[in-house]
Amino acid sequence: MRRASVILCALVLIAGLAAGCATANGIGDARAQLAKAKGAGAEWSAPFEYYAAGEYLRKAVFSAEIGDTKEAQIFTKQSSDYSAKALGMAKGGAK
Amino acid sequence: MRNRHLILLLSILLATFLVAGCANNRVATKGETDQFNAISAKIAEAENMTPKGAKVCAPKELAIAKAELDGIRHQGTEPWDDTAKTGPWSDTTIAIASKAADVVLAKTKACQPPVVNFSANPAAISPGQCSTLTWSSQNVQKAEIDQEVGAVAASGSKQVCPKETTPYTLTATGTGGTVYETATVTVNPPVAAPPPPPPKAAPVVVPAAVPVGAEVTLRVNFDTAKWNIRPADLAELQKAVDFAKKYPNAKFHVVGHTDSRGGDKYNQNLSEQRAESVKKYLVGEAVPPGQITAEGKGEAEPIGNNKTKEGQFQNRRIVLKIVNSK
Repeated sequence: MRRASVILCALVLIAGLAAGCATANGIGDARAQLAKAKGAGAEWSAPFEYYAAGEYLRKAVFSAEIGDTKEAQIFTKQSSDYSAKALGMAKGGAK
Repeated sequence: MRNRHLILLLSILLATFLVAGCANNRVATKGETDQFNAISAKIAEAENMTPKGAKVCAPKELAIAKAELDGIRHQGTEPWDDTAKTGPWSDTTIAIASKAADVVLAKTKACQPPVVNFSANPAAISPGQCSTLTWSSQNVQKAEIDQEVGAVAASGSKQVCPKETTPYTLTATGTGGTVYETATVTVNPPVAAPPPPPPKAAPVVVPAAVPVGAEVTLRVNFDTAKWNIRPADLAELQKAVDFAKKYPNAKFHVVGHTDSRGGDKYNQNLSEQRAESVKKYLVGEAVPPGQITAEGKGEAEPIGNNKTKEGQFQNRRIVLKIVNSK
């Protein structure tokens, strides 16, 4: 039974670590996307989308730091969506 | 013992999930909800502002405000797209989001270009008349009108009295740019004076068939020692009457003559009697006597041979000279 308890705790720990790593990876990806959008000139061609991506990324990082994984993931997704939109507008020449 | 540990561990996990799930279950107060709605409204107003929305005027500020608003929403227990806006919102996050929304709204308002209405009434005037320029504007910090009108308020009116057609340009400047609007006051050309009445038609002058100064000579013959007009000569004298009516200013000069028979004095007197006889006839036919002169020349100017009967007849005559004096 003790072994079972240890295994259960280990699973919980692994699950928690996995969730944290996923959030960290997501934030990293969002940061990369934002950098890509900036490189495409989105700061000028799609300023709102570009800055929104940055703001949501900032909030995602903050949420992750305080351990709010769920919020961090949501903000990360928001950031990624805005970065993708900004990148598309920058490439398409739209504003 | 083993089961006790397992039950304990499971209880701890269950309690943790319950605490996590129920920690934010407090429903937002009405005040919090009102604040949230106010912030949403400000952001929406800025986004929907025309002709330039917040995305154009304040993209960075709008992004911050919307992210803050989403942060507030996420603090609640409701799902991400929750419209009930329930949840425990801290005063700090509310204040940050509210300030961000204020900044967006202010910057977007300042970004709007001036909107100007400018007109002249009446748009067309006669020389010496005046027109009223009327204008109103929004998003304007400074306004002025050219043509020596000068600086004006954002809205107002002014009377102008241009002497000639003049375009007035209102220059409105605001933080969102400068707008030019023109109103033209047209000065119509003076109304032409009515043409003078046509001159009264001159009396119709019958064209003179006889040129001025020309003479017409009629001859009337007489019996021996007579000065009365023979009926055969009335037709000839009627020509003189018709001429007098046609040319009222014509002058008539009657000269009487005789043949050579008889003494000179007698013939002179006879010739004058013949001339006066014709004059009386013409006056009787309404020829003004003032236009008729008469004289006798006796036997001095024969036109025929006084030795023959025919020549003597030709010499017993009057000669009527008609002179068209005008």
